[in-house]
Amino acid sequence: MVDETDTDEALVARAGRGDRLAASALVVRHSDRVMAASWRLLGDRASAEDAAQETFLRLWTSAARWRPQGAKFETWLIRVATNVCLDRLRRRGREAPADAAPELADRAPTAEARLMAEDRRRVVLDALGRLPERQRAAIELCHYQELSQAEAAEALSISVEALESLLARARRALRDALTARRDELRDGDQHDASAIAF
Amino acid sequence: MTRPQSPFEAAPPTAPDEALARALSLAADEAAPRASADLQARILADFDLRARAAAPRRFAFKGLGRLIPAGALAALTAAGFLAGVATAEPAEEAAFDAEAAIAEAFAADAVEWTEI
Repeated sequence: MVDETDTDEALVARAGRGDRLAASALVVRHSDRVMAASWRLLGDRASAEDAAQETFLRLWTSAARWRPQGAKFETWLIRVATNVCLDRLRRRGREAPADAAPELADRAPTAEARLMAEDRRRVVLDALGRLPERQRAAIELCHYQELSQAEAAEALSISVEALESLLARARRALRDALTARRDELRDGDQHDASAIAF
Repeated sequence: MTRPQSPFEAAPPTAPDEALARALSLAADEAAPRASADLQARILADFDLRARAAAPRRFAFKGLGRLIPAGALAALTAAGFLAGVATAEPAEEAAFDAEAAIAEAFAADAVEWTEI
């Protein structure tokens, strides 16, 4: 039996003892967030699903001996997902030309793609997808996952100063990329012109 | 309501990060795909596999438990044999040896019934 008030940490301990209900509750609580993070880092749904599956597999492997060690479970899980994605991006980098852009802009249209903000969203995601992998990971962790800079730095195994540098470069690159595509962004101007402004 | 001539000129130059955050929010979680039921099923299938892989170790210990009665019986038998050896009288041993010698002699056709 799983209660909504059960903490993640308690559920992990139970999953480590083979409790399937606890494992299922963890999947329901966190799989969307892991999937979203993986998707933004990897750029396509199939790769993101594989990465999310691998992230949870690492959780099942270490659940029996998992200890909080100061970090929230969710933070730990996102850190694992980020590392899984970075590993995959490195492997992909070895197999593809270094300047190959991820496929964020080429994903198949979704239901949201038919909404009026889709063009603008696509431009932003495309710009995000063209960032170097570690800059993208820094944006993902600090902006989307709302990790503190210390947590994000730990996730990326770098110092806080190095993370700040990564973030600054990522923001500058994004600003430049979006500014260069201002005409595409203007096409959707009638909906919300002030949404993207640098 | 007055609209800016260009969205790129609208933001205060001192707030680029805020503007970037708003831009990124356009591509935020509502755009990201959710974990499908199929993916969740695959994740839980991985959990089941790991649980099953861990299970045989527990069953092995259960099987060991079933062997305990047989082990106890063997131990009692051995203890009985040792007790018998320890308490055997020399006369009994001599009678046992004689019977064994006669049996061996018969087996080798070395003696006839009449000789006994």
